[in-house]
Amino acid sequence: MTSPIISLRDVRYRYPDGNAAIDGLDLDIEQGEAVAIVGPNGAGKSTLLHLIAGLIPVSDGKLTIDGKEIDKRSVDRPNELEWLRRKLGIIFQDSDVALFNSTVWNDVVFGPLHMGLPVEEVRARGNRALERLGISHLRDRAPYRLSGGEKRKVSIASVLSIEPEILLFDEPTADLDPRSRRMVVDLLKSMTAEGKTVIVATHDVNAVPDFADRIIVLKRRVLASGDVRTILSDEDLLSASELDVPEVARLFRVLSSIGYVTDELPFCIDEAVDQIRKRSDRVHVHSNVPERPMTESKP
Amino acid sequence: MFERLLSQVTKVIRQSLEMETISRRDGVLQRLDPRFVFILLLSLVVISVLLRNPLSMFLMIVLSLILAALSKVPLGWYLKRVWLFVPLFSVAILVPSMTNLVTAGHAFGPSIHLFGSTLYLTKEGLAYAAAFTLRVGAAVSLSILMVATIGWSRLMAALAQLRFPPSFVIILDMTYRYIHLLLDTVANMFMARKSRMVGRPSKAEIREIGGSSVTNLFNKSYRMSENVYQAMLSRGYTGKPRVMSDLRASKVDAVFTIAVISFAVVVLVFDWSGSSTALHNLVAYLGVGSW
Repeated sequence: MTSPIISLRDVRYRYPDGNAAIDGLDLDIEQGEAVAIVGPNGAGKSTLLHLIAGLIPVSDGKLTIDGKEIDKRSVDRPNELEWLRRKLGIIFQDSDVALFNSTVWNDVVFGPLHMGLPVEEVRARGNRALERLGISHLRDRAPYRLSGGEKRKVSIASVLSIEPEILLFDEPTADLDPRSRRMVVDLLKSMTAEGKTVIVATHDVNAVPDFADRIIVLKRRVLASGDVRTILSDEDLLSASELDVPEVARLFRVLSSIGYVTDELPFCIDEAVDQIRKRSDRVHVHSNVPERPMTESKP
Repeated sequence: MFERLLSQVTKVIRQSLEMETISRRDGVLQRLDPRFVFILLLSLVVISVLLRNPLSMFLMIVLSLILAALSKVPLGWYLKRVWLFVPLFSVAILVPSMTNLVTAGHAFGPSIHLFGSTLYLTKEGLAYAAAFTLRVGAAVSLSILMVATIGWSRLMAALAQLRFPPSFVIILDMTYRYIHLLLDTVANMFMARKSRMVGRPSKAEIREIGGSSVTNLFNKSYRMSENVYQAMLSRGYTGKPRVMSDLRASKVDAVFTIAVISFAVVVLVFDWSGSSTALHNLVAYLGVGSW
């Protein structure tokens, strides 16, 4: 069995005023895993991401990234810090925080440039990141003139240009219009498909089943960890964590109460379509009525 | 109070948008390499400040207008921005200098008797005020032309490639970027407060609202500065800023810049030689006098 790429053992973090944000947290994340961290406000989700990113030091306990321990002294070891920055990228919730240059291009190349990469490589990475997000046309625009969705895309591109192995997203779908939200969820899925380790702190339980292999419920420590179905089926846990099931699941619960029963409760659109198909097949076989092909209605 | 503040914020944002729009036009200065435009206009500003004769200053103003016209800067907008502000500013600080209290000389117009002394405008004082106003006007005209035609991001790229210290460039760049965010935040804050208020607040309430808003804004700014620094650290910043610039200059850039600076140097030489006849001849030769 391979060792986890991220490991936290009895990790604690206290704010300067002494209050505990993270209190005795144990967690292992495997390479290539897509993990959603959920929990109520103040559960320590953002703090956990900042700890993993080495932006704030652990007060107690042990944090290792790919076998290397990250502690207070890591800040004073430039080689270790540079290794960590290349290994891991964090996308902040507030895009205005992440976009601190006067043009999109300067923001996108900031990471590779400060990692001391050759200029040609910096340029190539910047262009690749812009193309991947489909925002090459924004290259010379000022970040403060962009829409919320565009800002989010640029802030993601500015981290993708580093080409990190581990990606940390803090509330990536918050405050986005439906189309931009879809784009972000698709991007998370594609990152996972590429084998990157993706860790997402989110309130958006509707998006979680679309990309996550595992859900971690956090409330200063790990309350529960398991696959999406196990966690989202545990009503007591969700209630204790001030969370709700995805809207698709809520809909199917209502449908179930009026007699539309499916084999399993679906948690995302794809699962819902599967369940509807299965049920439809069963009904047709049972009633011996041939399935009518779906046609688009014409105006 | 809120209306005035909101309209001021909107005005600043609109002006910045106007500048960005002008910097994207297909004009002469916009087509030049921004490093050359920066050097050209900075040289002209320095030369304008060194001039003594109002006629040479007038020539520099005409030169700035020609450059503005060639760069497709709307002249109405340009003249309004310079000549509404400069005379007001100059008069405000030059009133004492126009009188015999500061500048002795020949009386101009009626005199006033105050507390046993006579106060009057002097011809020498007025000439000094006129020269000062023209000098400031020329310098401001050229500075506005610099910001309007280069555009902020290209100006920063130019400074970076001209070997200005990277920390200076980054701080300037971030200041400009976050001023916009600050203005947005201020506008939103006051809009939100306005939406929950009925009637006109008293002076005491205005003071209270102003105080709490400043505190709130300071806290937000402080928190944001911490977060921005963390975002920089997370992308490899280690305290040594680096900037990248892709600017490429051509011979045309150099020739145009040298030609315009040479003209300004000729004006400066004539000005310093004290030969007003030569300056008049230069003006007549250029046909500027017929304007």
